[in-house]
Amino acid sequence: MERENKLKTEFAVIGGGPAGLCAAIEAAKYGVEVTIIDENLKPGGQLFKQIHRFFGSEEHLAGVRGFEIGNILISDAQKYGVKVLLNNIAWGLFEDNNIGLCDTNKVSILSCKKVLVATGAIENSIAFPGWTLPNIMGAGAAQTMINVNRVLPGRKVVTVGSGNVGLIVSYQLMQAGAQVECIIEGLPEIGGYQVHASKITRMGVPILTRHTIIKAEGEKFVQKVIISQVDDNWKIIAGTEREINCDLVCIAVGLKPLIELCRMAGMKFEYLAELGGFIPVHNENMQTTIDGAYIAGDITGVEEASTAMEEGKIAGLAVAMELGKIDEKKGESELASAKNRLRALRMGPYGEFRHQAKQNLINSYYKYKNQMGA
Amino acid sequence: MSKVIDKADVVVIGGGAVGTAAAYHLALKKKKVILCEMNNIASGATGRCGGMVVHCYGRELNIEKTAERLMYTRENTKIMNQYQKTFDIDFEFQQIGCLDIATSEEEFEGLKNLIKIQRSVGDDEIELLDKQETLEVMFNLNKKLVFGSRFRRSDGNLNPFFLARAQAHEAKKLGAKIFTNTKVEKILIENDQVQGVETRNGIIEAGWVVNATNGWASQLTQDLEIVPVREAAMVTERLPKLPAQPFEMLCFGDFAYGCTQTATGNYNLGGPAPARPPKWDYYDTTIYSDEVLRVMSYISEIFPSLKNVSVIRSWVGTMAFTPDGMPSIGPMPTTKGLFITAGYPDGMAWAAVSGKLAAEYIVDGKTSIPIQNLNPGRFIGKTKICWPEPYDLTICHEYLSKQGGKN
Amino acid sequence: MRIKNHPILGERQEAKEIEIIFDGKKVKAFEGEMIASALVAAGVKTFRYTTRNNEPRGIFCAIGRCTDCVMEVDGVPNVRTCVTPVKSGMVINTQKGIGQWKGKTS
Repeated sequence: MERENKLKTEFAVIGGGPAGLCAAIEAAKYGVEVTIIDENLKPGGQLFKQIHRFFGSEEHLAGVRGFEIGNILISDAQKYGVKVLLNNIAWGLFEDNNIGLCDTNKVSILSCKKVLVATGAIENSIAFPGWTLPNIMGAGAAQTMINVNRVLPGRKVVTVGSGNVGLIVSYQLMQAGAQVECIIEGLPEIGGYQVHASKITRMGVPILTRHTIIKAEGEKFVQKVIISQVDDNWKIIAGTEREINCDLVCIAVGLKPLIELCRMAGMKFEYLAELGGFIPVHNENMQTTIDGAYIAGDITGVEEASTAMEEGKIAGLAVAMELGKIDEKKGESELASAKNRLRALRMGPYGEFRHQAKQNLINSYYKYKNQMGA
Repeated sequence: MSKVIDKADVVVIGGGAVGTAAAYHLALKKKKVILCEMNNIASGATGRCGGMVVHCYGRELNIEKTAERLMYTRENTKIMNQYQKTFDIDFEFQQIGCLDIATSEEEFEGLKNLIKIQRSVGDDEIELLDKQETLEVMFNLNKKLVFGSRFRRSDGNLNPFFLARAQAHEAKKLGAKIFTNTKVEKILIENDQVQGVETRNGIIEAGWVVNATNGWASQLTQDLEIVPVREAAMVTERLPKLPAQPFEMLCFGDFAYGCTQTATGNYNLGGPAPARPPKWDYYDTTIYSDEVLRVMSYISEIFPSLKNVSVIRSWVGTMAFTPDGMPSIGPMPTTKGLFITAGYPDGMAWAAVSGKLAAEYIVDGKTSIPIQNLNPGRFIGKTKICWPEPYDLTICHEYLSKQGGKN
Repeated sequence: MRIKNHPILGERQEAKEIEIIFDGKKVKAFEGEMIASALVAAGVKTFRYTTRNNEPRGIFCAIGRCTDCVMEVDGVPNVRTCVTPVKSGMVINTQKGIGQWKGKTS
């Protein structure tokens, strides 16, 4: 009777996006045997649909486009001998950090000494009548279609949400040849960075604050939406309803971490709306409340690729130190540098807010650890 | 000192199929009922079982009591049929039959023997099917592993969540109060008379308490011999209705694996998941990777159609046994006002009738079906709790391989 | 609709053109691209109909997490088309409800 493949590795990384790749590269640099698991046919996570230039410092590859960073990381991973298991879904994270995997043919159990869960996040949606109609999709989905697959799902677009994702994807849709009719935003001010907002408004796309979407209509797919103004209590202002013909609606209302494996493993959580929802608590070295299990990237709070990369590096270093592969002094010094760079990424009004939220998460970790008597 | 927060005629502890049945039938008899459930409705065995309704569970286990069991479980089915006519919520009860499959020649001889005993005590419904007949009932079984079966046409399955919810809903309509996330810390007894229960929020006074907490029952009532048992289960993606019956299949040592297609098209699979060192935690709801793989691979050996189907969720639940395999339903002899209904590994075939019997006893002082043999005090001084021994399931693995189960 | 010239990504790189069959009709696709991508390029918006209310559904997340885009592929239903690459001659059908399970459960 065929049963499962039994596999072994020292450090298993679930998720080959920027966080996972950086953790793997860092650990492999110090001689840790690393295996990355990714359910896609190519690692890189969300990097490959990022065609805009990144911000930050030179260390953070500022000025480099997301997909180029993806290529650099993949080639580094190869250089350091990281094993990559593609087309494998991690369907379970069990006791002793055993991981259940399966591809189209076979089930495997991967046992490891340390595991990193870097499974990222998924887009939220909002429910309104007609929200399930075809061609009402996540803004990230539209972005994948145009930047990775080079297909345009629609020509007349309405974007819901004016955070950075909504602004950037609208701009990229215009670059791809679509016409964005408007971006609607429920709050009184624009959610994303001014620089992105200016780019899109310069192209003639209005950003309608204090607006909401009432319903979407269409026979087999979306053909028009009804929007209206809302007052300070988010109540619809009668008489402000407007119909907009469109064939694509992009929903950009935030993301939430993909934490199923963490729940299975029994990690402790904290609810932080500002980071996207339920987050597994972790300490400064990205260690969770489960021994030997780490997290990094969007799963620890929705931020950006640059913070994901630094968190990955921190986790990779912590693992290398735990496995005794790096001299303690050197390890501490490298960790300190990584944490400084991470702190630098969280400066400014937007950054401070996130930094504080992350601090709360770390405080919760210690609170749980005390309760657990560790 | 805790304060009294409420009063009732009866407090029912446990919000599964059995507890909600008791609440409903008591409310039907116009009693003021408060049900306390430590988590949510159906969060214990009810919400973790496969939903199979098997009138006579098991093989050699008290086979001579077949007629007795049928007395209760047939009444249970009658009550559920009645529910289907009157309840607001449909709990998807389908009576589509259940096969108990013999996977070897010896096993089939064993089944013949069991049928003889069952017939001799008056079971005229149970059928013995040979290999051919079994495959006619369910053609897509693995022919190499089917040697015959027992078949009961009136068996079937239901949606356990909906059953518990339906009974709770009807109970509420009749004025019962259901408190979820309300753990009962202690049953309050003074001078051998029940006074009520103590919860985290305070005391609920009542003259009667029904302990319907199955796997947890002996934590609240010390002299009760109830053994919690871990089971693994999983559910597949939805499939078109296959001409298949629910079935059970035993491996060495009386461990049953179950498989049934729900009304929505998903398949529920289940199998044993013994507690393991070092924790030996019978309430452990973590599932282990080897448990998932074992249940999936054994069931798909006998039912190869499932080999290419995705499992979407897997979990572990706690059911319960008494030392003689019959549930404990009745007043606790040592305490006035304490009624027990617990010890169910096959609860869906008992829940409704146990609720009715509890209400009859408490309100009318007598039950429509005699329950003396199910007296919860029958083990006092006679047996010690026998926790399930660790058993070696690799025997199953080797056995099935030897049977040429490769497909 | 395919994006031929893109201000950042430039010209589309050479990729082998193949043929897939969607609801009985031949559709052009590029080797290695995802089924959803080929269908979007061909103007398809509806991928399936729901079981209970027969409502049309299409893509939502496009990264293989939400299962909104599932279709019947080569006789197997519930295939996530946004993360499954095309193969020459692949047969893709709009899935109705739980779909048809040709040859997989008999």
